[in-house]
Amino acid sequence: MKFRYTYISLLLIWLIGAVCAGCIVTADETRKIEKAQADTRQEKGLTINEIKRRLDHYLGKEITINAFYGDPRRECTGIPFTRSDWMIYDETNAIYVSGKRPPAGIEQYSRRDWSRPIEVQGVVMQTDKGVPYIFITEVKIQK
Amino acid sequence: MMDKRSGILKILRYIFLSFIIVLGLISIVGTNAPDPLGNDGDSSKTSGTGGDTKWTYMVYIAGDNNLSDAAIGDINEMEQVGSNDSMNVVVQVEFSQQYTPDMSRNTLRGKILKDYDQTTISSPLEDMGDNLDMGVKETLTDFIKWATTNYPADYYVLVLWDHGAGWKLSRQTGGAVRGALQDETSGSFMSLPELASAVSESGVHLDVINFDACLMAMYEVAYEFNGLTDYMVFSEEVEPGDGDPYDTILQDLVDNPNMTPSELAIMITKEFKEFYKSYDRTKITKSAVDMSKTTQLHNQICTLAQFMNSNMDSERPHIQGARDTSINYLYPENHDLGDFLKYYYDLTSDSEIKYKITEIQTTLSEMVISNEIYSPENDAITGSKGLAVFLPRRDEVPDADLTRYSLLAINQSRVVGDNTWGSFVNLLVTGDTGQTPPLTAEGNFVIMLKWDTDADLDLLINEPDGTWAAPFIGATSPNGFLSEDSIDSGESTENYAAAETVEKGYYDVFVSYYKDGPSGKTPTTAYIYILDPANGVNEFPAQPDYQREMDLTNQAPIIWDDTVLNDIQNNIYSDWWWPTYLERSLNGEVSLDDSNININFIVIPSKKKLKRLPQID
Repeated sequence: MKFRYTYISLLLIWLIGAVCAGCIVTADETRKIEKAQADTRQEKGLTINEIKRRLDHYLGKEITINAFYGDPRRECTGIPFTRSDWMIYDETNAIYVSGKRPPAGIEQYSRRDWSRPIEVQGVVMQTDKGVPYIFITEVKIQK
Repeated sequence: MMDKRSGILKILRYIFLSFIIVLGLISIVGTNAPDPLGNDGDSSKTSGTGGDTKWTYMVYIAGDNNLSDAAIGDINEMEQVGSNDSMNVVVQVEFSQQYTPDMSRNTLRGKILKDYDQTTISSPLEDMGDNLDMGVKETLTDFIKWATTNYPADYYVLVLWDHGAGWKLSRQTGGAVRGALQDETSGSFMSLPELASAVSESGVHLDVINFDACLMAMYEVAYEFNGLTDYMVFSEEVEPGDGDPYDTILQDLVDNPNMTPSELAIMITKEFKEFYKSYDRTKITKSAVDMSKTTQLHNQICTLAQFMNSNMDSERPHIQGARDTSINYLYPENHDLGDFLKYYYDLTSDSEIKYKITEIQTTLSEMVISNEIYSPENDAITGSKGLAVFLPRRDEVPDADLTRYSLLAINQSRVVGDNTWGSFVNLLVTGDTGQTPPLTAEGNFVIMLKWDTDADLDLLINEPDGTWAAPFIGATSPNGFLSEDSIDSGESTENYAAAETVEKGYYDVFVSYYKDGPSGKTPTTAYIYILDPANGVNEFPAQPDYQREMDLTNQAPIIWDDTVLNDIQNNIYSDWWWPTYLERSLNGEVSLDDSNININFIVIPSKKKLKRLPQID
């Protein structure tokens, strides 16, 4: 009897431990999934401030961002990658873009086109002096 | 004895006092006498014609934009070397108050002196008392005159420092054409013809013009400065933000002041490459050309254009093939001239065209005296020959650009009838098939609403994609710019100014009578004036194009169904008026026609808070 209680107790302890371990694993996996989902959500609704704030995370990654042409708040400080770089901004910040000219319908160097909505797809990069920019792969005007 | 000694002492005292007075007079006269050379009191400047001074290195830094930090960096590079007896380095610079708020708002100019501080500008640059417009040619002309008058030398180098865009002519502002050196505060951007004109009007023949800017190494650019300089240094591709390495370039010049202008031009390209090769991150191009070959090149290109134009039907596929294969740059319509000719030579079977190509290739090889390229990925750019040319696909060039291109010197200076490179480009792109024309057209029209009471009226434009544009919505739209809402300005007028390049389609003009003014005076007579240079209307007419009385006695519904639309077209309602529309058509033609009274638009509800917008059912 004593042995059976001991056995049952051990079994119960083992069962409880297994369940707890499973919960921990599950919880850990859940957190990973949630984090991945959060990362995905962030990249889908990505802001420029997020890119600049977590530059190490985004460096070398291809992103798509909806923003506006120009830099009305003059947030693109530092020397750009090239002297033909232009700027995009959103409600959070502004960033240089490089590698392609602005899309047709937008006149480069003209402030009159600032605030035209555009979609930029490109790779997040950084100059030797640490100035972040997006190297464009695709760019188009948003309707 | 005593009297004799005191007398001698008295004489000596008088002599001493006289000597002091004379010295004082000499120093005063020497400072205040006008300098026959018109010097401005800078004690560090040299005087005389050349003397020991071999070089004056003039740098015109249009840094009132997002390159302001780079301007600070480059001046600090210059200060690592400074000026000496054989070389004057002088600058005129403007910084951006927004990007570099610690820097002076005003334009500065002066001589660069050596210092050991790599972060702070210490040269005694003169504050010119105002924020000048660095984007107008008069300012550049004045700088060149000032520099060469106050710092005469045997040789003169002019560096044009800023953004660059090749031959590209940018937005028309106030009717003038703009293009290359940008001044954000003044809202200007000097065009290529204006740059050349500025140099010409200075009366100074330059030994070297160096563009520390992007995309300027083009046949079009070189020819625009024909006769104004002996050598030109520039880049076919974009330049890195840091631009020229002024420390190594100027140090070379200090170490070898007896170098010739061609040696200097070559040296600049080599130092440029060495600097960026050491970074191994950025691809670069930098070339130097002998400008004495420019006329010869132009004549040969015009002759080739004549042959291509005459044989366009048979040559078009070869030209297209060569164009689409040859090296191009950030502006994809800029192709390396030598590379294009190489492919075209291989594709054409016309022996006369082959001969003409060979002639140009020979001239190019003589004209390009240095061509430095570096590419970490060893990509196609390494095949660049040093000079690019405008050679667009149909979908790369709006019609307005073709018009502007025709204004350049290469297309004004006729050699073989009307055959210029521009005529060839026109023929090539307008006849291209299978390529979708760009969906943009020339804008530049302005619609002005005025009325004669203090009522609150609104000007609304429905743009081709259905977007509503109105002052009460915002200052910009996808295709235009709006004045202040009359309720804010207190003026009984509102305007819509189309961008220089706009979407093709219909621009419907509406006027809404929103509410009575404080005076209660009704009805209001509303007037519409239209300015449309593309249609030959280059100024607002003295009499309004359209006018109508409006008030709130018969208000239109909020929801516009077909019946309401029809009534609005027929001006049934007293508070909504549709006077006209403007059309930018698919063929680039523009029309101003209110005979067709159908309203053609699709309304997309705005996301912003609005006073009142019609909702189309």
